[in-house]
Amino acid sequence: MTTAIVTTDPNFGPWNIPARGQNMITNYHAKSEGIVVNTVIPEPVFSNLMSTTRWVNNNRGLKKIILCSIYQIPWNAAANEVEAFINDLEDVEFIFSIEGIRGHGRDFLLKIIEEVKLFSAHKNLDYNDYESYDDLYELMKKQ
Amino acid sequence: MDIKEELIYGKGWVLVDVDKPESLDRLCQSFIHEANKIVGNDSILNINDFIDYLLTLNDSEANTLKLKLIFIKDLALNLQKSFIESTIKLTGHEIFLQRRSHVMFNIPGHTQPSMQHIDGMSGISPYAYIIWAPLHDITDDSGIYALDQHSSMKIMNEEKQNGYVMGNAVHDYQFEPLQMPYGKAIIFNPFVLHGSIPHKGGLPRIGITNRFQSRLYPLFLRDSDFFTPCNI
Repeated sequence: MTTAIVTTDPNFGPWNIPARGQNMITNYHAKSEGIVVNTVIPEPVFSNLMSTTRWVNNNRGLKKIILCSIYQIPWNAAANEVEAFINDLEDVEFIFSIEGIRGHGRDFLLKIIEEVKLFSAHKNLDYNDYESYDDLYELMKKQ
Repeated sequence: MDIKEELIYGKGWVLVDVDKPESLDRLCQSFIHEANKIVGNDSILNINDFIDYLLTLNDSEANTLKLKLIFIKDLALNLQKSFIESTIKLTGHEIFLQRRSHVMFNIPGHTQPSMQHIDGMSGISPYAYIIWAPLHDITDDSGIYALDQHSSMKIMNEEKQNGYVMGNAVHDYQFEPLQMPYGKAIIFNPFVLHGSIPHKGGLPRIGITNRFQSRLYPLFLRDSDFFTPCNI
């Protein structure tokens, strides 16, 4: 049984983190928690189903996987794809470095997916619309 | 002026009383229980023991301990529930809550625990609020200070002329830390300059802090990395 770091397309959620950055974040997190990493699974760009990780688990067995963020799991896939993802990986422990949360099992994954959906549907302020924290201050005063 | 008006249009901060003392007590008990596990010698039976223990730590050890304490389960939720009436008045029931409370120490003889700053310059939404509560009575100058928001932004703008945010305009200002009994908290908006100063009291101070906001308002740069959705 193996512990793997999983890198994905750099664009996920509100962030753009190149694979090297993802590796640095997840490796640092593993080290700080005393987790020994055995391998790195690189998911290809433009993919969002974690199919490579699922293949590795089904053929070689995974114990833990470490990702940067909850946004990297297939939260917006079709229902049957989400179901297949959960079936394949529900016994694997997921560790999300940026959010600092970990867990495993169907209920955990469904809860995480619901949380990502909520964040994704939420409107955020657009960074490009503001030039300084003064602008943000004015925004607060206008509410 | 009600609490929301005071925070947005008034001085930008208010002192509030605990709404559910049992929740704050439970938070403290949980804190002590977990702190004991982290420290690992079963010698910490109450908050005063923990205060004494902090005196034995250097800067680095205190910082390492803080990083471990933020993972205490439900610390953030219990803090928010302790001040639930104030929270609901400001944000309603559906909120984004900081995933993990920050635990703040001010230990005599240590370097400045929290440099003066406004949270609004760190990517937090302008619609967020900050709550800070001590875990024991604060009767000296070890507590948090907070300027009114107009003075805060005046100082920040003076600093901005020089291209930085912590120069003489900030350092020359005379800050007056708040003395607060256990059961009080300060809530402020993200544009209130705040921090703490090295103090001459004999004992360390412990405070915890959350950021929270209504889910009806947009987030800014701090997203799932910092907040979690929560119904209170």
